[in-house]
Amino acid sequence: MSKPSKRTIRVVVLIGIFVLAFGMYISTEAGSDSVTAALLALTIALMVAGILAG
Amino acid sequence: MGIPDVDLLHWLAAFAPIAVLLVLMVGFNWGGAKAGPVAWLVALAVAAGFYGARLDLIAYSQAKAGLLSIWVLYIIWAALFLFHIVDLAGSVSTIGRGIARITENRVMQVLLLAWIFTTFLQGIAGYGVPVAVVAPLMVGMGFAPVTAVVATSVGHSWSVTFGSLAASFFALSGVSEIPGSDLAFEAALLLGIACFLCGIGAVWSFDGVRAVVRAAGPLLILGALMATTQLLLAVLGAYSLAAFTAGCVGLLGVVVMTRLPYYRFEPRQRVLPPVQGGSVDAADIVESTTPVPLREVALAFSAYAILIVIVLGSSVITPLDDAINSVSINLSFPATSTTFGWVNEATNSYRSIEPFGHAGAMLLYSAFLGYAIYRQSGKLGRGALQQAVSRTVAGALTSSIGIVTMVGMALLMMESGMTYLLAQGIADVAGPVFPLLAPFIGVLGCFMTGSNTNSNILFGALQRDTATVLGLPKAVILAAQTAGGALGSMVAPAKIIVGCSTAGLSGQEGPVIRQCVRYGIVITTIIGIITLIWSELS
Repeated sequence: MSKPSKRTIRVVVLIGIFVLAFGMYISTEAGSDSVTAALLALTIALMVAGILAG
Repeated sequence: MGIPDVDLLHWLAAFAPIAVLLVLMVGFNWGGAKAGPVAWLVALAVAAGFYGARLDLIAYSQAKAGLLSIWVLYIIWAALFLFHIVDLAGSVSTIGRGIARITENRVMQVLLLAWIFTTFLQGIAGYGVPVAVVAPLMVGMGFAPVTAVVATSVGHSWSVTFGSLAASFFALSGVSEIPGSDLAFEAALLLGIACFLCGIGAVWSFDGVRAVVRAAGPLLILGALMATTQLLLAVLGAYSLAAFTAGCVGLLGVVVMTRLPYYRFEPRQRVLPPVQGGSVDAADIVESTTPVPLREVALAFSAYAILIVIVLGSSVITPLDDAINSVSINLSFPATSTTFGWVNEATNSYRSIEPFGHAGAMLLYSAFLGYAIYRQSGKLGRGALQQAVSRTVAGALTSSIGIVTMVGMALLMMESGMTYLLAQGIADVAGPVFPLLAPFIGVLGCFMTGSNTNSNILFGALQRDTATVLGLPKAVILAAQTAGGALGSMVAPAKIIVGCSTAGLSGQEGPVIRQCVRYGIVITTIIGIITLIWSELS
């Protein structure tokens, strides 16, 4: 399988940040701390991907 | 107060994300898309580790950051799209040659575009539009991309407080609970002084002291015209029109001044600074012997003229304003707090987005109407729309990551009390020389948020309270706050990224930031010294 291009990674990072941010909002509103924590961990991973793709 | 003790350790910890961002972008020439995520990670670690940010606070702060980012990116993507429509129609080149008709003098072109035209745009639109629109225009005219972004960033920043229909000024008045009439004179006077300094900075960025000497007359006369106009209107209570009218008066003034041959033509004996990039060669503009017909210039400018009409129309015609703002996207947020007791109040609407009334929507309307006009007149062929979309995506994608991560970092810092502690530390250490540092706190707020309005919201109350404690004139200190917040526009990474992305400098923000920070420090220091003297005399 070929490596995704930098542009693809950037698109994923950009959209992912928004999806995860609003996902954290929904899970916090629902009182589900474990889901919020998991989404935050995913956000951190996405940021690292962003650094590597930058 | 709800924040940790204001000691060196906590202050340095709060400063760490900003320091990391600056070091990576300025020291290592990293782009915002790479430095932003690192600074975000540092801010998260400090907020959770030193400032007691709970999971819900982090989650809500990032959702707020998401809304704020959409709000900002809407403008950026739309401004870029408008620019590419105009550029594909060959209109950037035509406007450039049209401006060369007003004046072939490159120094006067810098004044006209980077100082006066940006002020005019700031008056009607703001929110990053002046740099996003004018910087690529200057590049198209053959100015070096770095010069174009630096000159426009520096040139327009004096008009930010009373620009955008005076949103920042209203925010300052609201948050400090001091009527606008008690703040207007002080704010407009400090910003008026900044007007001259920003003009000098814009010209200096083009060709150093020689350009300033050559532009001394216009700088003084046009600066006095614009600063006085803004001051008069602000004192009369017409806050929303102050910067816009100042820009109009400046444009009229420059047209009159350039009737003089000294300001109309380029001195032949001088060698101009090297020109790079751009879709038009500078020599073509300056040396062109074929005059551009006025009708062609008007046609080329039509997309921007439509923008002006739409923005003015929506602010003057209330039913139109009500109609386009009838649809609104809102999220409510509950109160959050840190383990230290720093509380963020609950809000029913944080940075609501009106998809049809937003500044970005107005840019899109202008782009589509401009497209229709250019297409009708044969300036654009089939497939131009897709080409413009494709160029917009290519230009804005990388910078958008930088903006989103920096806004996320700023919100984390604000909501965990880090930003407040930074300002408190400065106030504690400064004591009697606090007025000198007051505008720097405004700059800090804008640096963090990319917005004069947010800076005033963030630090307005702190500045007022510190002035009260230290027995300083509140109106002068608050004027310094908003002047700093306005000048902060030239150093705010979020805004610089906007300029860089439209001027074709994505990922190369470092050199621009370096230059802008230099001008920002000098101008803010002068404003700080004036604030100090004024406070002593009051």
